[in-house]
Amino acid sequence: MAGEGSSESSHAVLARLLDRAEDGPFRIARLLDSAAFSVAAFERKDGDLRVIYVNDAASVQAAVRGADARGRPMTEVFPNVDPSIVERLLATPGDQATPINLRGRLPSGAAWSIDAVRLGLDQIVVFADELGEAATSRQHLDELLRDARDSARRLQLTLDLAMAFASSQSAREVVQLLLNHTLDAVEADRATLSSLEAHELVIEATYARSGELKWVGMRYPLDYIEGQPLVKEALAKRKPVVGGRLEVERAAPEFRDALSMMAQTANLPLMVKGEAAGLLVVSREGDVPFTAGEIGILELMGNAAMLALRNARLFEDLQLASAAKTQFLNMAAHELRTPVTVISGYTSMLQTTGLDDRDGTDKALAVIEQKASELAKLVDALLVAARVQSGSIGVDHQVFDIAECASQAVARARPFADLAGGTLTVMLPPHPVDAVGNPEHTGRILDNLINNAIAYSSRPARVEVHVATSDRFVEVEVHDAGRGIPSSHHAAVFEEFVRVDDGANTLAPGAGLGLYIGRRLAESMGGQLTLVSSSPGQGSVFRLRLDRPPENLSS
Amino acid sequence: MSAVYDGWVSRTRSIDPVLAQRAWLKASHAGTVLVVDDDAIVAEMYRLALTRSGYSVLVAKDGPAGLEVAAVSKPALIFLDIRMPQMDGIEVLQRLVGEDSTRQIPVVMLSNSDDSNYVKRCLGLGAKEYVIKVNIRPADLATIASRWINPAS
Repeated sequence: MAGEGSSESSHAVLARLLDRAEDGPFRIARLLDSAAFSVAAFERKDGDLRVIYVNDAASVQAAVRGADARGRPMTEVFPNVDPSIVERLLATPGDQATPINLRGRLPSGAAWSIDAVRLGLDQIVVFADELGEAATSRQHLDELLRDARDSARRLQLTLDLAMAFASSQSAREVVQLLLNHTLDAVEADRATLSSLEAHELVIEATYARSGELKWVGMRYPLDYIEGQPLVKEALAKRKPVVGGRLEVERAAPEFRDALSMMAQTANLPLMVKGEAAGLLVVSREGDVPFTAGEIGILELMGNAAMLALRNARLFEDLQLASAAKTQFLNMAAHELRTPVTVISGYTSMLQTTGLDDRDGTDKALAVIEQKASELAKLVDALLVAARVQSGSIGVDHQVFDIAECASQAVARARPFADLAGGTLTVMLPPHPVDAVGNPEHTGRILDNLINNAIAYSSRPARVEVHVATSDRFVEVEVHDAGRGIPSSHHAAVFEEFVRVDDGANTLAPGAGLGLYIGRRLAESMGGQLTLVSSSPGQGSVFRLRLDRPPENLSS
Repeated sequence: MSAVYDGWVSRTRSIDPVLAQRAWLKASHAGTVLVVDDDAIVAEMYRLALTRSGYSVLVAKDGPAGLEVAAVSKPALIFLDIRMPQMDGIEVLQRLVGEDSTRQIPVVMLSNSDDSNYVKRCLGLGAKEYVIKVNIRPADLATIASRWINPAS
């Protein structure tokens, strides 16, 4: 079988080395009784790198005999190793003590060098080629041992970190853990974590050995990366790229000082499900290049962190959404129950004893009717709000005449304005005004804006509706001479169930859903609903902005 | 056949004048209750129902007014709404409990919000009951009131 043939040739390599190095390998095996080291031979098998390694004297003998002894040699296959690496390894004669400085990375994530190949972190394979030299060089052995201890320490750090990530549900905690551990693991002076989003690079946080963790949170368009060849290369290749300092001049101003002190950097793309989801840049002030082993550990830590960060963010989003949903349900329940209370309350009073007089009965019936109609409107608003919230409002954009839409809304509000004893005027261009969106949604938004303007207006109500166009947009503004909204509430009025109540409000029914729904509907049409200006006593201006159809751009 | 039916109806509908007077006297001695609710329509409905059961009813349209009426009029019981502008019912309850002059007045929370945090806080602060408006008829308020108003006082 082909496999047996391959094994034999590996054994042959080992046998040759054993012959040449006399008791070299046995001596190494005794010296390295921690079993942290192995003697190994390697060979190419199809496109894979196959490593046979042995851990002690007995298994060395077993390897040479090819026998099935206690220390049966172990074989490990590393698939898809860069063919050029395998080529160079194989081209290096096993019986030559030529020093080689090959460094790289195995698909398992382990770093290797010709001095030592780390398989996982608790195990180092000394390649057979190095054997002779290793056996004769005590200094070399010491280096290997130190590397092994470093590896063990880093393994411990990584395990600690993985445990911490697994139990962390906070995005900030994950970032903090990663950056702290990064500096410890590789003795770097600065580490910066960024997330990659669809069109932006978000610098999350940076941590300097000398200082504190600093939350940055700045967003840059992705072409920011163009100015940093090392980063660009790392992201393009999806592999860590080690190099000198980053381009200080092309860095964000706030990082220039810090970057200019650094001599070496490691730029790691952080992968989640095969996609580059983040970027870890680790730098050193001293001019000591990052080794393959260090890169290996950074990659392990960084990738684990990115996954944990993503999970933590999902969890946080979920919690927020869940809290919002609970609040929505609580509010909806409260708002729905109020009219039902009155309807069923008066109904029960009419049923059980009748009301004493005709007048009382009529009043009760009028209230029931009023509350039933309020209830119907509320249910309608809640349904729209729920659909808006779940994003299931259709986006069937069409071109429609927003001037007509506005004048209809004004006509609908006319009775309410008359009731309030106010004036309601509309200012329209003398021609149709095309907008992109949905006339029904637009009508709903305008109804709400106009009714609010009347309800919250100082007496007598004075409400103006303006329709205007600019190059790209159509804008409908609703001005009132009303009580206005304190600036502290400007953002809140667009939240669900929020009503700015100054205690003088008697004409304003509703659950505080109108502007919330309005803004979401406007957004679903690709437009905006904003509070342009408002302050107490000065009235308010709300503006709905929609796109004009593209063909109007030239006209 | 219709005569029998009428007779049955008249028997159940006719009110014994003595019993009726006794019931009225008992109720009218039951005392004064305060309803604190910002929704004027709801408050009016409860006022009507409680009045019919013989209670004297005071209505306050918000928390500060409720506190003032409670301190001045010393009602035998307070029905207190929670969601109100300016000062919510929980704060009103806290203040009622914190004042010597109002601490002894039993308070029944009357709200359409069944947020469990509200329920816990109100009962923790000493409210006698937490009643969801939509679950009761206005006439039930008299029954609830009778549970907490000491007949001797």
